This record gives sequence, structure tokens and C-alpha cells, in this order.
Amino acid sequence: MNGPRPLWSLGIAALGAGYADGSLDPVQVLESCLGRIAALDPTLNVFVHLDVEGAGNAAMAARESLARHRRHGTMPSPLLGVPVGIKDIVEVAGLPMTCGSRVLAGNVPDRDAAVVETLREVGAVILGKVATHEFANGLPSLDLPDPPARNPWNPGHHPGGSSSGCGAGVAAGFFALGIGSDTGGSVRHPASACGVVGLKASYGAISRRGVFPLAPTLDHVGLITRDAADAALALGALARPDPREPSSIRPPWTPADLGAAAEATGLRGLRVGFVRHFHEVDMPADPAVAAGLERAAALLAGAGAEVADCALAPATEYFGVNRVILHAEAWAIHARWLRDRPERYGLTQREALVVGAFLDAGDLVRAQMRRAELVAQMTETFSRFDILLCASSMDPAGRFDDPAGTARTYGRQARTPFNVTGHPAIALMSGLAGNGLPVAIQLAAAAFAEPLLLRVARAYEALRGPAPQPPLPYPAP
Amino acid sequence: MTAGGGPVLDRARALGLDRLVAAEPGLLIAAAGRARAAASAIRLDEARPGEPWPPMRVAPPAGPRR
Repeated sequence: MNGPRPLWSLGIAALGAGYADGSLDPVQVLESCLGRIAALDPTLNVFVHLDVEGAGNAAMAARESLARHRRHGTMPSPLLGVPVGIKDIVEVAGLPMTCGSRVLAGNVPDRDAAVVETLREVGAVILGKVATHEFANGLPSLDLPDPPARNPWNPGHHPGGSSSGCGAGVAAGFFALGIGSDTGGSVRHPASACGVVGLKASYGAISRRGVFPLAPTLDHVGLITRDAADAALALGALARPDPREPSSIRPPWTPADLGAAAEATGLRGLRVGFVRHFHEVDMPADPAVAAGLERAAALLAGAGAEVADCALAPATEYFGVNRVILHAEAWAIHARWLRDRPERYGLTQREALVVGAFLDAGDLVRAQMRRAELVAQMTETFSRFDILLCASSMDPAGRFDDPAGTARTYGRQARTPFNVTGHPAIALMSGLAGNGLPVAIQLAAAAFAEPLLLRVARAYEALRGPAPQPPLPYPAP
Repeated sequence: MTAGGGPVLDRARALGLDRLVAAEPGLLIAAAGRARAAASAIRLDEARPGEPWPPMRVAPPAGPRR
């Protein structure tokens, strides 16, 4: 595309630069995004509640705040004036929140989640609530009032999930930042399926207060952005210790550490462990996924990294632990509703959430014991490697008219290991599969090594070159 | 002795899932199968019942000790 980029296509860093030099205006950026949404969302089903008035007020406030910063010579937050989509399991005061379920029909929270408090404080423009799989679990449902979000690369395909609206919305140009959740890969999956970036920081880095839980010992708030530099900016703004959230910790880095790290691209001496067995043995991947991983390994090695094969436990071990813990914890949350109003759930979640009723205490203890072993193994691995390179999804996104294929591809992934262990991980587009849909790689790092993780992610993007954009075969504004 | 439908549905009734027992007994039987499959997939390398577990640490209080 020649000429200036449309405003809706700008990421967090580009918006910040334009706001800083006065060439961009938050109200005009919002109008551009709303035009994009009006044209494309009837096809993509990203928004379950679009708050035009609230977003307009926030954009006006951002305009005034920017003027004050310019007058006083002060530096605004990188999220000031940035359009944001919020997964519909995250509380935004005054906006409906159903978690994609009839169970919570009519629910309107009167408080903001911690992450939304921060977004408001730094002047982000909250556009509204976006699609989620029911209660952030499992597969897309077709028997619920809200239709599932669709993939901007091809609306006949799913966009991944459960943070499906966040992935589709960032890829389609509706907003520059999606706030999602990630319990077994639910941010990195839509990012991989939609060709954008999905970051799950270390467990406890971003407060989950006000985010409806799926499995609290596995749940993370996750971020979807257009590139790794934007992920660094968003994480720096949103990672804050929260005394009212028991898992929240103060990260050992500052926003400046994340930003500075993202600028550096030298990889000489970096020890990269290439976890091949996930996609070669455990779940043989689509050739485009495997080729993307080989390209990534070659690019990192060419930039000076020492890339060597690395073995972890088989992926099925992580899945087994994740499944037992998730089912047990989700049952604890949903038992009362499964007793009182099971018909209010879609079939997919009736089937999934009741599994925990048939686990016993010993099952959960054994899963937690195995989890401790897997955490120890991962921690030891990061004494030998600085970064792990592995697959995210083993396949490009499946078609809506092939539910069996979609169910199969949802399970073929290597994201869950990092929910079981709590280590930070990021999904990055590596190219396109034969069917024209995105495929991705995944990088992971030691606990709270986000500055390094984001530096390597940014370096990979620079080596890979610009990511292709969705062809959008329907009218664009 | 079961009330009908076998031990899975008995357990479901005991847990208060009577509405699902009545409407979708097959769903519950399938869920029980999935639970058993999930639980049986857990393999322990080293930790064993009776060995020190869980891996919990209690942080010492901040500041000088008395």
C-alpha cells in the first residue's frame, strides 16, 4: 500500500509517536477505527458491546491530556489515546458482561477490573467488550445468542480462542490493543490464528482482579498487539502490583527496561533451545508451521544466537496436568450454576465444565505434584537456555463448517506448557500456510525475563521482515 | 445399589446435578469418562505420596530478627 497508512492500522508505538509530535489526534483515530468496525464487524462479530459514547468521551479526554502534556513538556503514557478492546470476561463498570454465556445474561458490573482501572488511569480509549468463547473455555459455540468471532484472513475460519474477539479485532484494525486471558493458551492461540502478537507474561505480572476466572492457578491476563514493540509498551503500562490480588507480584523490571530492551537487536551469545519434539514427534505439525520454525531458528542463528535442540516433557504431560487442574478449578466455580441452570450453558460448556464433578481430591493432588515437577524441569531448562523456541499452533485455523477439524486443531498446540509452569511466552507470526492463513512461532523465557523475551521477539520480527496483512475480501472504508 | 443409571449418575445426583441427570444422562457419563482419562494421564517422575510435598515456602519476616 502506498501513501500514508490509515489511522486504524497504526499500532501503539506509531500512535504514541504521532500524538507526541502533534500529527495525530485521538478523536480522529477513534473515528477511523469506528469506520472500520462499521464496515467489517457485521462479518467478523468481534464486538458484543461497542461503547461509542464512552470511547468518544475517552478520546476527547485523551486529546485534552495530550495538549496538557505538550504545554508542560511531560511524557504521556504510551497507552494514552490508544483504542483498546476488552474480552467479555473482564469487568468494565457500566458495560454488560456475560462471559459469552446466557448464564450471566443481564449482568452489568459496577466496578472496573484492575487492568481496566489502569487503562482508564493512563488514558486509553476503551471501545467496548469483545467476543470470547463461553467462560473463556474450550471451543467456539454455535448455540449461543452472540455469534462467534470470525477470522479476518478468511471469515469462514475461526480466529482461535478463547480471546477470539481480541485476536480478530487487532488483526482487522479495530483496535491496537486487545486485553484477553490465557489459561491454556487463549491469547496466544488467536494471535497465532490471526497473524498478530500474543503475550502471556509471567504468572502474577498483570493483576486478574475483576477478570472472571476459569482456573485461577492457571489464569493470566494476556495482551494482543500488532508487534512485539507494542506488547512491550502495553506490558510496561499494565504490569502493576495489586495488593488486592493474591497472585500479583511486583515484577523485577520497569517499563523502561522493557522499552529499552525492545530497541536492542544483537543476539550474539544468546542460548536458544529449539523444542522440536513438540511439533515433530508429539504432534507432527503442518509443513508451513514446521518450515516457519526452521526459518526462525536459522534467522536467530544467523544473528549470532547459539541454537541447540532442547527436550522438555512430552506435550501430553502438560496437557494432562492442565486438564485436571482446569477441570477441578472450573467445577469449583461453576458447580452451583450447573446444578441450578445447566440449560443456560451452551452444549460445549455443559460438556466441558461438568467434567470436574467426576475428579476426586487425589486426582487434583497428583496433578499438582506433577505440576511441581514440570515447573522444576522448566526452571532447570532455563539455566541452560536463555530462550526457548517452539511451535504455538500445529495447524492454521480450521473452518467453521468443519467442527471436528476445529476441535482437533484446538488441541494440537504447545502453549499450555507455559500456563502449567507460569513462564512468559509470546506468539509471533512466521508466515502463511498453504490455505492462506497465518502460522506462528512461540518464544518463551525464564520467569520474569520479559525484557529478554521481548528483545528477542523484536529481533525476530526485524529479521523476519514485515508481516503480511489480511486480504480482507470485503469492503473497507 | 444404584438409583438408576449406574454409579456415575448416582454420583451426579449426590452432587446435586439432578437436572442434568434427568435431561442429559449421556453427557454426564461421557464427562465421567473424560475425567478418568484426564486423571489417568498424570505420571509422576519423582514425587510420591509420603514424600515432602507440597513445595511451599514460608518467607521469613522482614527486618532484623529479635
